[in-house]
Amino acid sequence: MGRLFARTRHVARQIAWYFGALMGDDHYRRYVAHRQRSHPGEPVCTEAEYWRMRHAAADAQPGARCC
Amino acid sequence: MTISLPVAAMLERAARNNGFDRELPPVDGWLGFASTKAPLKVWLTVRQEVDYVAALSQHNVVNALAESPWGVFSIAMTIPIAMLMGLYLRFARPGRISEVSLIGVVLLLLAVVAGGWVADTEWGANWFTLSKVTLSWCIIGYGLAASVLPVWFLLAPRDYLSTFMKVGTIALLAVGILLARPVMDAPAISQFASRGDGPVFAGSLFPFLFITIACGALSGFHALISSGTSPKLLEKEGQMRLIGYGGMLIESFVAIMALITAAILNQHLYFVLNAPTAATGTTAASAADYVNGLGLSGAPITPEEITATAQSVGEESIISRTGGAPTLALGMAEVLHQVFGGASMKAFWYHFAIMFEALFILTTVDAGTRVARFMLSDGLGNLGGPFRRLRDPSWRIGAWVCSVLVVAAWGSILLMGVTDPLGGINTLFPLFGIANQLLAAIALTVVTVVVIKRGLLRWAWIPGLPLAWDLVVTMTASWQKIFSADPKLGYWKQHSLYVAARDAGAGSFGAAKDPHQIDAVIRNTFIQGSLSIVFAVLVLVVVGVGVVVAVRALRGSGPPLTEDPPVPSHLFAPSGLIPTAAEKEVAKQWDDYSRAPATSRAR
Repeated sequence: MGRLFARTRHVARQIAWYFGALMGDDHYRRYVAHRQRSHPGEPVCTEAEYWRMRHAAADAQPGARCC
Repeated sequence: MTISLPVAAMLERAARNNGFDRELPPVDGWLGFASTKAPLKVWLTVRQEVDYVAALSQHNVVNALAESPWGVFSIAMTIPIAMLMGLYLRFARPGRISEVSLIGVVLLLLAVVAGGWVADTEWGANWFTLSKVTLSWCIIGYGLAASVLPVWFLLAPRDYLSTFMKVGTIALLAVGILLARPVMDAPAISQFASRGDGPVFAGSLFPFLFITIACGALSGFHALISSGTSPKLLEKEGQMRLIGYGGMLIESFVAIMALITAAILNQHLYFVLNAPTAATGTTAASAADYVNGLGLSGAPITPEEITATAQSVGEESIISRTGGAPTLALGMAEVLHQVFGGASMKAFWYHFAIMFEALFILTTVDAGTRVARFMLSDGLGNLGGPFRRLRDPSWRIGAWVCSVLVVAAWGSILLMGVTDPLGGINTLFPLFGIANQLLAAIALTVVTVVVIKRGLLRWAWIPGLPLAWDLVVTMTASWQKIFSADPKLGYWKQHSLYVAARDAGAGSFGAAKDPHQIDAVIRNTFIQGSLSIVFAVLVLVVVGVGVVVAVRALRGSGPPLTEDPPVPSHLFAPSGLIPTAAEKEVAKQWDDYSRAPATSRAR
């Protein structure tokens, strides 16, 4: 029973991870990891600032996109 | 094929710049207008965005929503829902995208249900029963607003909502088809296949079967767009095959399901929906007479059955609802109500499907207008002088002026097409399929040349073979459209017949009911015939240049590749969807390594 529960929880977590990655929930976390890797020791902006920056960039440069 | 090969070529040229024109330098100089300032790519994109937006809005939104208060209400509600999501993400919980999307989807489902209630009330029916012209003006207003409003307020949350809806609806439909196991009503080979006189499209299977906008098989539009977008989905070059082929397979998967929903519909009903008004008339009786006269297999349809089908999905009429969206919606409702909810839910599923499709198209309307606006202001900004200020996209006056210009361009085509069955985008729509495949020939030429320039001659057949086939198909079709003596096929033959009729002073001729319509057909066939010639010649020029560049490269006298130097990767990621055992091992080590503080790492 305990093993089945653990297994179900693992699968549910995997699905939640996949879904979050698909929608973009982990973008800020990945950005933080990138900053720490490429620019160690430098300050990292907050999540709200990060998304403002992303949207400002999208505002200035729409780029090609799909239908 | 469409997606992976250009992605492979373009990735080498860095994700931000899909330097299509750089590998074939002379093409850019010859075909770009205003010297090199507005290259081929810009011209193609602006032109295409304008036509694409006009065509999609007319065929999928206006045709599906006209005189449908239920549909209009639920789609109108997507805009305040998106704005609410935008505010939530900006000020309440930044970055919680799944969370806000779930909230949005619940509100959206509520809006679809509420649409049924609203359409039943007197005020609801009064407010939301809109004519095609009013609807077109609403879409035009929306396109303008979306182009000048900040991205975070409308565009970004709407994209989240439609991503969620796309993935969710397609998965739901796949499950529905597996559970409902609907029976195909359409015959394996349609009687129109050999005769080439189908009511929706005339012409023989070869070449016209291959001139469809088949996103997963071969599509120039997707080649152009995906060369810019797909590289952004990659963390490492090794993931290219997964993203490229995966994208192609998913597109085909969606296409197969759309085909299934069309093929399970009663054939008579299918043609009631898809034959033009000129053939079906506007009443159930005339539509039934027309489709029963087509000689389809299966029992003939009665006018009562047509009316009953319309009522079962909560609509007044389903006659000549062309463009594909209502057909897909009816097929989806057919599948989904059998699995989820029974007959009482059929109207809900129909409007759910209509809303899902309109959400797609509105995403194209807003993003397309925005992209075209930026292209236009960039192009004008390069003219110099007082126009130079347009180069700054945050200059509000410039943004407004360019948005109005772009919206006016597609809005006028849309309005013309809506008010005149022979004008506007109806003139250009027949050219869409072939223009798309000709664009694919350009993309495949560029890829073939890049492969040869990289010294991989023995692999050049991989893009070369589909290029040869595409050229055979598109050139045969162009030849028939330009030179055929059959007026159903040849634009110029049709043109000369109508000119002769006009000169003889005929009051009506063929499909044209009065002298004004005869003039419209003469004008349309002239535009269509001329564009067919221009398109075909353009492609032949590009292919010719491609051959010259390739031969020079083989002789070793050509210019070198304009490739960016390779950048070694600084992170680990598995190359497939499911990591191998070895990859899992390395991924674990990599995770431990990146979690450790930078100072404690052994350098």
